[in-house]
Amino acid sequence: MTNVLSYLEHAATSFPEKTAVALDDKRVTFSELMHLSKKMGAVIAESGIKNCAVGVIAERDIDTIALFFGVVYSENFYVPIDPDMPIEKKKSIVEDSGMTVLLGRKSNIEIVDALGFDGSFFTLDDIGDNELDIPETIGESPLYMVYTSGSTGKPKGVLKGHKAIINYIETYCDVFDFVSDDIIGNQTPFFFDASAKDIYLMIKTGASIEIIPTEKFAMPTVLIEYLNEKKITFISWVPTALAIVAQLKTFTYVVPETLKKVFFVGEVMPMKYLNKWREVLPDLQYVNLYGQSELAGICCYYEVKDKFEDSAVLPMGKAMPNCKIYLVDNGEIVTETGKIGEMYIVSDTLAIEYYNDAERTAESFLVKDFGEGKVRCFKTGDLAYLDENGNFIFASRSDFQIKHMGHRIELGEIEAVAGALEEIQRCCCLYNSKIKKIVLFAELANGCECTGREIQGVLRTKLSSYMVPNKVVITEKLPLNANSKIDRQKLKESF
Amino acid sequence: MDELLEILNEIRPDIDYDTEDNLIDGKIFDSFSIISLISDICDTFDIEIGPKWMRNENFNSAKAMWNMIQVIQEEE
Repeated sequence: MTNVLSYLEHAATSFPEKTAVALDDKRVTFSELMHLSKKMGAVIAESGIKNCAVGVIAERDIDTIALFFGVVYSENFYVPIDPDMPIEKKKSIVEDSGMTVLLGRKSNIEIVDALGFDGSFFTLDDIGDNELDIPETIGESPLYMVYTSGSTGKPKGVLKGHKAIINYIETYCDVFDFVSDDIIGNQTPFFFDASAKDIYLMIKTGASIEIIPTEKFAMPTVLIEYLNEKKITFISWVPTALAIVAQLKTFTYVVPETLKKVFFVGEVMPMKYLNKWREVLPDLQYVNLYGQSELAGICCYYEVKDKFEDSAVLPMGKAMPNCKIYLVDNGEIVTETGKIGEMYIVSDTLAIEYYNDAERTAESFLVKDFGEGKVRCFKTGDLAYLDENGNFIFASRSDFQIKHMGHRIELGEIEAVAGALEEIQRCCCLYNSKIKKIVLFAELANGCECTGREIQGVLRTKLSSYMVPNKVVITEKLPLNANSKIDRQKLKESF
Repeated sequence: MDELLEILNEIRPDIDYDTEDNLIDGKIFDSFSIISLISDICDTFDIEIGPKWMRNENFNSAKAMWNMIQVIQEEE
């Protein structure tokens, strides 16, 4: 198999009338999803583009999935765009990817206009009767591209291929025994990379996706009642969403009744909350997943079976069967228990490249010999060590990249955007992982009398909501080190 | 009430909390805001917001939240 659409067509043949994706009372069967995608593909193909980026304004909606697969039928690769992202960030994605075709829903026309987009904009209302067949896909054909936070303030596009996704999803299903009867409770918005796990699991197995309406996550009791109503069997959520359910004693009021698998991904799951889940629901399968945007999915997993103290750190576990993970310190492979090294991943699931950025690609995607000949690997920037059971344990980031509310954020990007404001002379962004707050320390420009809140308000118009600092501290003078650089350590100590 | 407004302003300073009564149903607060909000309210007022209080109507306005906090404080 060389094209992910083979999964969709197989599911449409095997389970034509079964629900593929649902949101509230709206649903689409596998057969309907396939035909919608083929027809959308035909519309895009009329533009005459091939192997090009096609933007999809990725609303939390069933249509988004048909738009994604429509792009794939047209032999192009889709680029999901967060509809609520600041317009300047959207513009930079449109420019960087060079997209000439943009898809969305009719109401997205306002976004298209605000972008000043001069290419073609299509919606599912534009489809006719023409349908496309699965295109021939050879080797590393690109499938989709996600933009992640970039330290220069410019988001970077990670381009992934069919081959990597197929390799990943085959292994994922082998390891975790998913079946067509599974109902996936989707939490991750479709403009985030982690949602690909749900989408490709759905078409590979014939399982259904229930898109959980965003507002259900606001109230944990309402959320669990919704899981029961929709008979959801599997969730793969950011730990924050799971933690809040446990934290707020939801289970004394309502308990998940159909859930079988609980996976957590994106940040560290606090053990005390996981223990609360396990206390009430001991028979569920709990799995900690670790991956990077530069991979098709996860590379490491840990199934939680043993008892842990609340203060214990959850291991990242062992490498997936299709990945090899090496710890490297000062150019040497680390194998001793407890010794920290940077994680390097060797796998067929690695992304193709950082789009249009040969320099950054060469810095992170390396060819190295780990003792079995030269192989392509990804340098993660994550530091980890091995415990006595051979499980990887996360230590820290080797740079200023953080995980906050399930999102990967470069503090440098926040600094770059804040530093560009005329109100700010100089700034430094820090993250307190204990209280999970992003704090921006700022020296104001001469004559400016803005408050921290006002700066926060301006940043809200320029950054994605999860990147807006929780606090902006106005300071007269940022501490400097001997090299006249901002002394982060000193600031951290005062924070 | 001032302490509550301070918490709310830290989450979204651009909202008029005197008049806004659709914070949850109107998706003004996303799930992450709510998580942060509940945790900050519990810390600040030293209360526990039990599951029976987790209903949209108790969080749709600053006034509803303030009423809820007072009732919980009385109960505790």
